Amino acid sequence: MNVVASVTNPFLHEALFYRDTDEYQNGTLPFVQAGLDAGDPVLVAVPGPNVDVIRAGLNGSAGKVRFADMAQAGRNPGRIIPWVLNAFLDEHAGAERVRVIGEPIWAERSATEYPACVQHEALINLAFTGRAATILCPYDVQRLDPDVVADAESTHPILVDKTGRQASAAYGEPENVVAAFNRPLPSPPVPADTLVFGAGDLPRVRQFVVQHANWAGMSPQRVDDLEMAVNEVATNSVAHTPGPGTLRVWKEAGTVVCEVRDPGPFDNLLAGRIPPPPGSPGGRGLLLVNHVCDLVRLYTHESGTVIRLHMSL
Amino acid sequence: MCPFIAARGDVHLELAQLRFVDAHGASILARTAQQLGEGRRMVLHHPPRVLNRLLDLLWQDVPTIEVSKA
Repeated sequence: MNVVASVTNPFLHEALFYRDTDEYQNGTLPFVQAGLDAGDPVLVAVPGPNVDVIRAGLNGSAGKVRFADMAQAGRNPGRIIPWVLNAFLDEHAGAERVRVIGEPIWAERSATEYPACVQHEALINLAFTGRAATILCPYDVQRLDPDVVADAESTHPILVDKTGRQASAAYGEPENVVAAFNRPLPSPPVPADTLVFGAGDLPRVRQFVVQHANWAGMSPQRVDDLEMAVNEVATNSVAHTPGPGTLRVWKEAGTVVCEVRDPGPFDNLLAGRIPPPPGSPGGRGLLLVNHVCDLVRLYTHESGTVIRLHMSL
Repeated sequence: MCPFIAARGDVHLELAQLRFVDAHGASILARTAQQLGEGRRMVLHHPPRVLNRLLDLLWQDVPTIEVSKA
């Protein structure tokens, strides 16, 4: 089957299923080369070792391609749409088409990260509707769980493997996929310290976070970033919900987790993913949170929302 | 911030007493600096670390806002 961008929606989001280095190169190099031949800006954002695989295969053309180590730039899956993909698309807003290879899911992703990864893949379809871009997402089907591959079939309208390219019969509406991974978060593995806060308590919220992050031994710059991030989430809570909000902080596996729970719904799926218009002073808080945190998990239900910010020491 | 836009010359803000500012606050400063008009700048004196960080992350492309080295 021939699958092309439609007139009304030029955006293409494809999964590439590969089993080994040969299949990886055969799936990615022609994609990059076709982009370069057409004069399209090309971004390759994949885990470090795969950056090397693609770079090596491109020989002399590698200099024309932008590379990023997805294990760093996209460690927080919520960071990828705003700060990796959208940033590159905006930088090349005049281009006829922009091409991206983005590999957000690899075998070492933890069970805590994974739901946010799938939601990220689903939200790509909403975030870039109408944009003249092609995003190709490699999946290592040799090492990834079959369930992960099945999820990729639900988040990518087009599937590619060594046999060719076809529409995904299992593709699901992004809203439904996000909802399917909107699951209650596990209890903290250790007792958490708790602070209940209202509109006048933001300084106390910040002090609480800074104190706990310092006790945990976090580096000073990350303490600053975590304070800034929790303040944004707590500000949204006091500004947009009747309150009160509840902050819980604990340490698990070299990471400080700050959780803000409030009685308001979270209904803007793209909040924190796409920047507001340049003239608007608001709407950047969650973008910032996604930039500085190592993971952001969210669970929303009819009586409230829970957001967890993970920051490694 | 509007009076600053209407005034003439550079705008200097002494921020030594400012303990914290959030993304919204930093964005209001940056937006104001963008609207100052031909040849005018906003100069921040002793901003808290968080403000430098916010401007760096969200408003890198605003040449009319600068931090005083003095």
